[in-house]
Amino acid sequence: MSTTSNLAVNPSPTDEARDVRLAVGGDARAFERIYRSTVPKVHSLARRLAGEALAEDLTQEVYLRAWSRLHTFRGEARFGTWLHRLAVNLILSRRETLRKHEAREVIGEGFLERMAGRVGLGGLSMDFEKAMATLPGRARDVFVLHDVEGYTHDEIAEMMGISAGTSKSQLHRARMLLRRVLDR
Amino acid sequence: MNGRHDPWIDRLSEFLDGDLSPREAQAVEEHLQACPSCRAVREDLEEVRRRARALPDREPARDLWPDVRERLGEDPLAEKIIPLKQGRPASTGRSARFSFSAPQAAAAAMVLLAGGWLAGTTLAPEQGSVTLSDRRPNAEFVGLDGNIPGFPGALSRELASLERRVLEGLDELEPTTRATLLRNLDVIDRAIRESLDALSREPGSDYLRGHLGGALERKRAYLERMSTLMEA
Amino acid sequence: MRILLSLGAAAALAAPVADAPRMGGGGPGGGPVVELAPDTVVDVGMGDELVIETWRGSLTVRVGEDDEVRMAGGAGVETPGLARSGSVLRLVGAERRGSGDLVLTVPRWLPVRIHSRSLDVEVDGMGGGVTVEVLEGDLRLASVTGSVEASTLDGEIEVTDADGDLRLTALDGDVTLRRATGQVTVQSSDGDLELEEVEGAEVSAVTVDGDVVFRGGVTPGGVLSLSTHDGDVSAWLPAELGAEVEVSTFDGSFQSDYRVQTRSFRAGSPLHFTVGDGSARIVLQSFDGDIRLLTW
Repeated sequence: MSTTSNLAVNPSPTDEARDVRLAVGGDARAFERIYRSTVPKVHSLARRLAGEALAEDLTQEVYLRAWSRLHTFRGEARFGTWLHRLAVNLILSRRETLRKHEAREVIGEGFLERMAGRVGLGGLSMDFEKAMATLPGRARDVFVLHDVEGYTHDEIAEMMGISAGTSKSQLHRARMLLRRVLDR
Repeated sequence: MNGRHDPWIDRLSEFLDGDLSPREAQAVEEHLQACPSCRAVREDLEEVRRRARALPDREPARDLWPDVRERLGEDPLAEKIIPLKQGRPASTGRSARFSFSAPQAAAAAMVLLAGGWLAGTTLAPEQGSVTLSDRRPNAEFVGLDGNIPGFPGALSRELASLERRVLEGLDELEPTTRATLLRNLDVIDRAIRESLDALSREPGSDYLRGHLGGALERKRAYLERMSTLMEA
Repeated sequence: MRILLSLGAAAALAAPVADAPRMGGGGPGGGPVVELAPDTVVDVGMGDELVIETWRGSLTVRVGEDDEVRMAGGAGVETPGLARSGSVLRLVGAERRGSGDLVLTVPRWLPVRIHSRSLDVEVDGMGGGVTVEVLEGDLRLASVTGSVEASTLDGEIEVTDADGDLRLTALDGDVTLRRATGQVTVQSSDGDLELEEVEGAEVSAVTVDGDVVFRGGVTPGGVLSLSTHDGDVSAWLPAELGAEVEVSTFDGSFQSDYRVQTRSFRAGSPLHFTVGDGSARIVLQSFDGDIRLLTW
């Protein structure tokens, strides 16, 4: 496993281990420290896998889920690795449901009318992160998990319910598409 | 020529990631030495990978901790319904995102029974192949009268007879080709079934009606093409 | 050694023989058969057509400078022959069905029709009309103009640098089209469609189970139509776009880089809006998947 998918919890592993122990025991302040040190990573993951609109809700859900599952953390892997895996699984399984909630919400409030006028033409070049967001769904998921987060194809296959071969071909597809937005 | 390089290009990601066997990797390596355009692609792909790794993480735009703190104890996956929060713009980027209504499902009474077809016409040929004898034309989506709901009976009969003809010819094909063709037929049938299902929930939708018509037409064209090609 | 035979002249002299043996005696329709050994060339003239119907294995067709058909590369076990019947030149194998890896050079203007059960095909540079229809096999076409029809039930299609009337159908496989202009129809059932740098008066890409990615333009007054049943549709178009846009999905979302203004929107019916002068028409559909209309 490469190190990129580990979440850098507190600078010192001993602090991390102590906070996790305290949080398991119900110490919300210790859990807040864990939250503070890991939230940029979790939020960025959610944003890349599910889009800006859902990222906040999903981020919150990751920590709610983590809090309720803390007692299952055995300390065999690093806590950051455990949390990250939990985050990926939750985001992949929850985003569709949340999208549908969002749909009802925005249509009900005349969202289109409000949107009209808010959206203008952008510049001609797109930054890399925005280009990633426009990849076809499966290619984007694989790209984020492999190239950004450092998971292996076997791990991705398991998390996404696809074959490792599909994971490889989708990764290549994503890279070939992104290659076109390199501004150089 | 472009086309000649593509088999190599297709391996470049695996090459970069060290996912090729030593022999394959060596073959790619040798090709790269001889081929400037593949080298350029490899450099681009490396750059894409490098940028992905270098992407900075970003804090949420607002502090989410107070909300999390308040809700500690909830388990999102244990709940069926997440309460809707106050409306927020769906996107903060320059790109607008909005969603169409998801189908709300009092899944209506489409009777999609294999038995319906059995009542209508003769069986698919018994060619001794499990895959074939298991498959009955249009069984996925015809109604009790053997017809596709809402479409002229002639179309159902035409599709069924075309499919029977194709199924008869399948035994002459290589098993892998046969499996591919059958799987493809399943893909098309699934699309037809899902379209019918959707149409039964939203009978007034012109899009769904057009979409279903397109799917049926695709099946007809597909079967016709298969039967022509099997004569080659 | 170079044997030069003018089949046109030979056909006029030869009496048609029914049911003659394939090699030596006569080809389909009774015309003479010329063995296409290396270094053999067969003259062709305007109005002729090359038909390859029974070959299996692989076939590469390239453009040569002269008005002749030539076998330029090794054909596996069998040496094929060419038989002429009127203006039709037909490839025949030693047995009824030839097989192996065959490379032919032909003049650019010669119409070519290929029809086979199992064949990988590579066509490069043809301009007189190309039809390739196989049950199984990958098709790669480059630098083709005019009428181009390619279909494979089980295999992938890749076309680069094309201009004309393009109809590409891969039922179980991906279709990739790069740098193309003209009328374009691309289809698959179980496969992704990728159209890169494509601009045409009428462009349509339809798949059932797969993503559709389009990057290119649509000419004023033209129509761009992208559709899938189960997958995402992503269209990247120039920021300066003029089009009436129609978006439909049963269960998916829509994202737009363009300003979306619409008077009314009813769930379940298509979303219509106008970008710029609205001169072209863009239709984007996904039954179950996300639709994106983006600027590049």
